[in-house]
This record gives sequence, structure tokens and C-alpha cells, in this order.
Amino acid sequence: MSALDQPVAKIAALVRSGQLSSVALVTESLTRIRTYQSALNCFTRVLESEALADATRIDEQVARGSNPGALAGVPFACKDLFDVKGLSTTAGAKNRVNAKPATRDAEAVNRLKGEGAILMGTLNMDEYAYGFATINAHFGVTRNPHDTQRLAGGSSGGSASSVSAGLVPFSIGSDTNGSVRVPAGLCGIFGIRPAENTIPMQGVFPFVRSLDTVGPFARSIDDLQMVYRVLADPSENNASYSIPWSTSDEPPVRIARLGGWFEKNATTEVLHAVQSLMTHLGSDAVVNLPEAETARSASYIMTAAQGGALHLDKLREDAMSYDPAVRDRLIAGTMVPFGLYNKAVQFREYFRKQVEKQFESYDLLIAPCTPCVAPLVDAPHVWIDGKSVPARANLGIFTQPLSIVGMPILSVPWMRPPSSDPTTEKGLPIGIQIATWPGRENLLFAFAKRLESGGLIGSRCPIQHVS
Amino acid sequence: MEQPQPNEMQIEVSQILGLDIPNQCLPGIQASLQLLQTHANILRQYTSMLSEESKAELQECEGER
Repeated sequence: MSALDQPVAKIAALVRSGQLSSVALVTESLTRIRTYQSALNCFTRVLESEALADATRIDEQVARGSNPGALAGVPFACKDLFDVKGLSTTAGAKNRVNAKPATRDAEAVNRLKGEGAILMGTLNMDEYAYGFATINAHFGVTRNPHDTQRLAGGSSGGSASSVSAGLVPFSIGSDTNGSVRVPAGLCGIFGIRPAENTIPMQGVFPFVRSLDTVGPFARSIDDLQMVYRVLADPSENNASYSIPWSTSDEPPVRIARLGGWFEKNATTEVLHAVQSLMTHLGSDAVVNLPEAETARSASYIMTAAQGGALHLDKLREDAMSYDPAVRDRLIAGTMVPFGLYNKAVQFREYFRKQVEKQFESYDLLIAPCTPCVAPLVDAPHVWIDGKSVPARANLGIFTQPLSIVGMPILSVPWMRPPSSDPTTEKGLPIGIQIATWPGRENLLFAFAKRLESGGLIGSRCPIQHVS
Repeated sequence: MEQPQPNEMQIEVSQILGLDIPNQCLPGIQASLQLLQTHANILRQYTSMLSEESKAELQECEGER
């Protein structure tokens, strides 16, 4: 196995001990990116010379006997809405390609680099993060490494596809309505939407300020937790949430799956994945959130209104420079009356209280990430209530209602049992959301680790890399 | 060739928001508005069917923070 395919902690330990050169790691990552970029279209920019220079610095630090950090020499990449010093932050938009370059790195990027990680480039996304598909009119469609005829999901599609394909060991993206969880689920890797105010948004191009979060993607729960810890520096956390870092707690036993809205419109295969997980866990508890559909509507209205308001000046100036599918949704959002918007915000608070009540009886709630496996690029639709509707707006029907609660939610890849019929949807990944209440992140990670150790969830790289 | 006259929505949006909507955007915007209307209806219907106790709880929730 190549060093690049090892766990993040092991890669960093090898670099710190001088047994592995950071330059060699970066060179291998660049080779993989060059090999698969044309098929997957994950990257919008590859920072070859910068990455090699940073890797050289890490190797020099090690040679001098100093410690480059917890992520020493580990290559990563970021969604193209994080500020990277010296580059225009495009947010996936043609009309930002020549925007004034950032004068410093986004705080999330800064924290990762501060622990020795090496930024390899910026990653494709839906324009202005308004979509669940990574169908980008300017930068093209990002494809799923498990089947390049299929979507990677979005809006952080490049972030998920690059990690799933093994081009980089981890990446970062953003999740407003499901933009980490949907692509992580469709590409068969781990991701997390953190609790609100956990990871700093400084230097991240906004979409819906009251819902935006930064989230990492990785190939294992250990890798994800390690990156998450670096991003969510406890000393910087919002005082109202305490994150205990110990993982010695006994994993929780009170688990329920979400029924109702979260079953309706899911394919048989997706329902089977969730049910099989529950069966293994020995739980048949089901929680119905009768407000879920309305919560999705509230989120939809808030997203349209805040997104429209954010872009109004630019739309006045040059509406035709937008991706038409994004532009028309943003313009419609500018017309949302304040009274309606306020009702949606009010409902958000109400829904948050209803969900919090459920956590008096349960520690974890489980639901599918998406209603189906990755749709085809040439037929980017999903079936909702018997109608074929655009994947761009509807792949997140199960993530969107949970987003407005502000709780931490993992996206984990269900591991198909060996006996599963390989002809069914070609064995494509199915993602499962595991949610908990803020402050219980240690339980979330410990529980997922137990599932992973038990072979119930896990990531499988669809590409056999030759080093 | 004579330009089509702006419709009522285009005039209002131009007057209130200062945003001139090109004619070619109209079908997409109208489809988006229709979806928003669907979601507004779901929100309105659900909240109108809440029990008096739940309505009171909803009223206590803050709107814009």
C-alpha cells in the first residue's frame, strides 16, 4: 500500500520521523491528480509549485529536528470557496474568476497548514454552493469515482470526489443544507457537518450565513476526527458548546432511526441500508418528526431569501454572468417577502426545540443521506412523490431539514455485506447520517468508530493506485 | 425588431429592488417562484394546523436574530 493510502496519523508520523519525505508524498498526490483530473474534474486549480515548496519546507523542518505538527506533510485540498492567499476565491462562479486575490488564507486552511498539512489545490463545486449536484456551467461537472457516468453530489462535489478517488487523504468543504453529507454519501466516504459555531467561517465565501458550516471529508473515522480536531480548536469554540475530546465514553445505546419524511421517497436499497444497520445494532426504535417536511420548506425559504439578498448587488450589476440555473433561483429569492422569511426563521427555532426533545430519549438519530444512489450525469434527476425532479435541488431532501437544527451530523458510508447483490445499482455507495446534540461529538465519533471496526460502515477506494 | 413589454413582475422588481430582469430569465424565475410558493404553502398549512399549545410555543420562538 502506498504511503498516501495510509491513515492520516500514520502518514504524519512517518513524515515527522523522517522515514517519509513530504516532497515524495506531494509528488505522488500530484501524479494521481494529473492521472484522474480529466475523468473526474475535481480540481479547479492545482497548486503544484506551492505544494512542492511547502513540502520542501516540511522536510527541512524535520531535518532540523523540529516538529511540523499533527498533520505533517499530509496533502489536502479545499473547496473553491475558501480564501487561499494570492488566489481569487471563485466560489465556483465564472464572474469571480478575476476577483481580487485573497490577502490571507481562510482560518480553516490556516489551521490545517499550521499543523503541517500541504494544500494541493482548490476543488469544484456548484456555483455559489447553490446545488446538490456539482453541475457547474463554467468549471464543468465533477464525476463520481465509483462510476464516472454518475454525479459526485454537491455542492462540495470536488471535495468528496478527490478523497474518494485517493487523490488526497482528506479535504474540506462546506455544508449549508447538506453540501458535505450529500457528496460524502454518494462518493462513499466520511464527512461531518459540525455543530454551528464549531469551525470558524472566517475567509469562507458565504451562501446562507445562518446555516453555513465548514466540514471535513476523509476515508476513515479516525482520519475525519483528527482533521476535525485541528479545525475545531477547542480554545476557539463558542462557549455555549463544550466538546469533550475523550473517546473513552461508552458508546451510546439509545439509538433510533428517523421515520416518516426520512423513509418517504427513499429507494428500497437505501431503506435496506438503514434498516440493516439498525438490525445489527439491535434497535427497532423509530422517531417520527412530523415537522420534517415543514423544516425542509423553512430551510428552502431561508436559503432563497438570504442567498438572494447576498447576491442582489451583483445581480443588479451583471445577472447574465451567473450560471442560469443559479441566477434564476437567486433572483426569485430576492422577492421573498420579509414576513415569510421571518416565519421560516421562527419555525427553525420551533423545530430545533422539537428535535432537542427527542434527544432526551435518544443519544443518536439515524437517517439516509440521500433518497437514492448517485444519479447519472446524463439524467440528473431524482424521483420525489412519483415525479422526476432535478437532482440539483432535491438530492438533499433528507439533509436539509436536519441542517436548520444546528447539530453535528456525520455522514458515513454503509458497508455492503459480501452477499449483497452486486448487480443492484452496481454496488454504488449509500451514505447514512448519524446526528447527535451539540456537545456530544465524542459519542458520535466513538459510535461511528465502533460501527467501522465492526465492518458495518467503511470507505472503499474504487481505484487501484500503483505507486 | 420590437422589444416585448416588461411584465408586471419585471416592473415591480425593477422599481422596488432596482433589478432589471432580462426576458430570457423569466421562465426560470417563474419556476423558482412556483417552488417557493409550494414551500410557503407547506409552512403556512403546517403551522395553521398546530394545537393551541404548539402555536403558543411557536409564537414564543424568535424570528430574525
